[in-house]
Amino acid sequence: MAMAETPALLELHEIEVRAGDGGAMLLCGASLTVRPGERVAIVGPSGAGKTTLFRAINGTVPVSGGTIRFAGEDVTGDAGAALRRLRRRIAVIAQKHDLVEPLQVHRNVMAGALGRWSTGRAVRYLAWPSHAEFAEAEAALAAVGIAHKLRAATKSLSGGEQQRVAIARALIQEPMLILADEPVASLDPRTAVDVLTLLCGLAEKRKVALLCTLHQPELAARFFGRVVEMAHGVATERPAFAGGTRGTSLLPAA
Amino acid sequence: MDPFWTQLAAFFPPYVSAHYLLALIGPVAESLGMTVGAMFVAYLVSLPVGLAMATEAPGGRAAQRFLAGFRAIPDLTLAIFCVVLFGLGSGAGMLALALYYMGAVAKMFGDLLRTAPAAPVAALRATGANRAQIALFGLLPLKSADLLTYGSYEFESAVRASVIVGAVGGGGLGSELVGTLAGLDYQRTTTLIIILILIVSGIDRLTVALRRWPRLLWLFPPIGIAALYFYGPHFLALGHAARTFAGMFPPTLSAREWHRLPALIGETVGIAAAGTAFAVVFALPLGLASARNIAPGWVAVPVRRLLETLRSIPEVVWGLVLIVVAGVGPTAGALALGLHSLGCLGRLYAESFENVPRAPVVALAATGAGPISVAGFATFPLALGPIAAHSLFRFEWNLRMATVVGLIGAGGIGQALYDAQQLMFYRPMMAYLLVTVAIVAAADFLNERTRAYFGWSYLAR
Amino acid sequence: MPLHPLSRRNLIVVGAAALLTIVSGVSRADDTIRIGMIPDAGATQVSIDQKAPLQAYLAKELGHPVKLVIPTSYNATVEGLGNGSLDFAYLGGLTFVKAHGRYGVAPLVQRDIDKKFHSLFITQADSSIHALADLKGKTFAFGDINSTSGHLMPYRAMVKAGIDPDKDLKWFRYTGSHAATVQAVAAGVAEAGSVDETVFRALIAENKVDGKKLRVFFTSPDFVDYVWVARKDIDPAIQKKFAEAFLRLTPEHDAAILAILRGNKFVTATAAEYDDIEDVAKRLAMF
Repeated sequence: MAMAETPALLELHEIEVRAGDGGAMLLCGASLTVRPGERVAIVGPSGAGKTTLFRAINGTVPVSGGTIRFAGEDVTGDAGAALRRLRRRIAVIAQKHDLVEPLQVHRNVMAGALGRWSTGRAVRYLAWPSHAEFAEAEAALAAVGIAHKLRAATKSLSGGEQQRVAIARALIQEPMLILADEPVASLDPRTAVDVLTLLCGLAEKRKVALLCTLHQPELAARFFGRVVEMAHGVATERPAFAGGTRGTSLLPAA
Repeated sequence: MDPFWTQLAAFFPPYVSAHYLLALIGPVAESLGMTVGAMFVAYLVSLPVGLAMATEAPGGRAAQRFLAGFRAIPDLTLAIFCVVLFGLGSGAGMLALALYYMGAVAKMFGDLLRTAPAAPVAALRATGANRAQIALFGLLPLKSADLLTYGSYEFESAVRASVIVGAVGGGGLGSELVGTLAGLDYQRTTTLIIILILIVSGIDRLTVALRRWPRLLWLFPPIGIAALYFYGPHFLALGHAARTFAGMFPPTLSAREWHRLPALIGETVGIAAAGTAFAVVFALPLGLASARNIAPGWVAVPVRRLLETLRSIPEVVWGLVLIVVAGVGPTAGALALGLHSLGCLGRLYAESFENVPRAPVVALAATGAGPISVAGFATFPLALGPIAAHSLFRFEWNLRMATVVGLIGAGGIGQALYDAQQLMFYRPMMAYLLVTVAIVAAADFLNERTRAYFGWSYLAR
Repeated sequence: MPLHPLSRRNLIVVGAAALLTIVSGVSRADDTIRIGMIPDAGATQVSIDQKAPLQAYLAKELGHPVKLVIPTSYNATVEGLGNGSLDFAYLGGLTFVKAHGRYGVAPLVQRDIDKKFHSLFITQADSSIHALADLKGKTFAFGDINSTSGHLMPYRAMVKAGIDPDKDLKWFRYTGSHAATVQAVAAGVAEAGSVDETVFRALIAENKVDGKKLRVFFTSPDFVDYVWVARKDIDPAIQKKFAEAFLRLTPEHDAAILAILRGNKFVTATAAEYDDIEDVAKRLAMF
């Protein structure tokens, strides 16, 4: 690898995850390394373990074997305050349905800051947002191109707009790594391209590593320098792309 | 010490002696007999009416409307009426329950039967089957499980109501309860309330068994007939009833009574609003504390038990006790509605918290937010819709119940009705009854509107 | 869960139950005399138990089975006489006037003390209330709304003393029974209240309330109160037997029964004595 000297941001080594105690293996020895600022796509059929991999990374499911290192620390099995510290540095964007619909757009965006806010401040903001907080939310929304939706009802947004809000929330979190789980699966092809362009562009500009699952190989090839294929709970680097086009332009080829 | 606590202490410990428990077999049997007889009649009348309505037979809808009209008069008010018209004891109580539940069950059966799947019914119709055949071969088998389930819910509610109608002279446990309160035998009152809770939970077990073994239902008709015979009206003084009823017309209020009317209505609405507010304020923390996905088991289980107990004691029984503890008047009424509503709302709130979609909650937890922040930014806002809907429904129900708790001395329009009835001023009494019906109708109208606005989904259990 | 149509076994169950009902019906031929008492001191299985000697005595004297009934309200007792579910009843002064006016019930007997009955105004021993005029701005408990000694006569006494209960009291409530009034005042729920003198003394004698905590601050003028009546279409011979059964009671022989009735001697009652009560009730819009 060309950049072998750079310390890895995320190192997964032989991760195993079981469905419940002694259940079926969901991940069996998955290994993966992501460097700071790197963009990696993970492709594979449904049930291959992509979502489980993400959940293992941010500690939502316990791992039964292997080690996870993040920013040079062993974070395997972290819990409580340590887990919250880890999660603060990793933003998650899901396929859909993870916004709190009854809250206005700006509150959904600022929810990204909850990890670094005290509970008292969170409660105060919920009741009485300050100008500075509005400005921060607006800046994040401007970065995703929907600044005018600041005070809109979240329910009233289209699918593409909701996904942009989710991205804005991830930006507010100021993460070192973004995990995007099928971020465009429920969008029409044109919107999907728009959202991926935005996401990759922002990751590049802000030097945030991006790990993104996709089920359309052509989109993966077009937007990501590195593509990892997952099947049956094992991750395999796709040779054609390994060490290939990382760093090339992110703009759509056509 | 504050009179409230001194009075409350007088209710403990409950009085238990073999002699007293034996003496209570009579009142308990009377309450149960009253319920069984009344519900037997209610089911017997409502099922054909419901079927007639669902098959669109001529007159079906009209019959259902007519029966549903009795629902507009609260059960306790009906009981007072029946005591005036047909004399004391379980007969009058049974009649009041039968009238009220005929209305309730006919509406419920009709609504259930109308939701029968269309295809099988259409197939039957295509064979040239007549309405009765469609009902027997299509509607009944298709909906029998639902009819049984909801029918048994109504039975449970009738058991509680039998105690309520007893309080105004309908006999059974209710009469005994009022008697112990008037006679300062408060420790016996507690015994009676515990017996009521045991009966209600026993009936609950029984209906679960019934749903599992529907054959048990064949025991109901003979028991129902026996109950009708032993606890039904011993005689119907129809001449007296007709004369007394005629004496209630035209409904009249004196100038002074007219003058007081707005204040009375205001007091009734105030009782409902204060009771609901009390319940909402305490149901939020208790609902959170009993939601399985939020609170640990050692907190949730005891809180659930507490809510169950609060809810198994009807508003009127709370009212009777609180009138002793907090004094006659609207405070007792509001507290009575509040405590029962707290039991109901606490459970519904807990369910609302439990039914919150998981994805947004998980998403916020994934940002590293602490548990209180997650509750504030996701769980709470997501549950707010159902919580608001449940609270609004409770207010509407309490509006209805506020007219009822007045009857036992808790103020408002109910108290005016009761005082007029006690003094045998039957024309003003009729006038107050019409006002009550108007308040209940307004509450029902509000209820329909809320339901149409929120949709049924929030209330699906 | 289909319901099975009537099987033979089910038919047998239904048939047996029907038969049982018919058989038991034959044995329910009814010549019981039903006697109602207004619930002036509470009505429970226990209070009916306590009155068992009275029930047995009347059954013996009348030569019929007797059932004592204590309805939950004064009104229900009067309506019981109207619709025929009660044959005889024990009424208060005001309830008698109503039952007499509406249903023509006949007065039979009453205790000697009922001719010159009193209503007591009570308050806590250390309260600042010493006369009717002191009630201004205070909270007050009446008994049942239909009670003569708990509501009607105290109401008149207040009006005579220049207190309008509707305006001058902070509030007043109906407690439903004399016992409840005593309890309400003893517990401080209401600052003062009005009660039947015999119930008040009985409660203190039975130690149900602490007599040292309460003080009587006004005793009403004499009035005629409780009375035993018969429904108008009851056979006069039985009415006569009923009256005689009471008139024959003596403290030497019938102490237990007289204790239940809270009296010493019974005398004949007449309707004319109640003209004054009727007049007061009409003036106070309670009749």
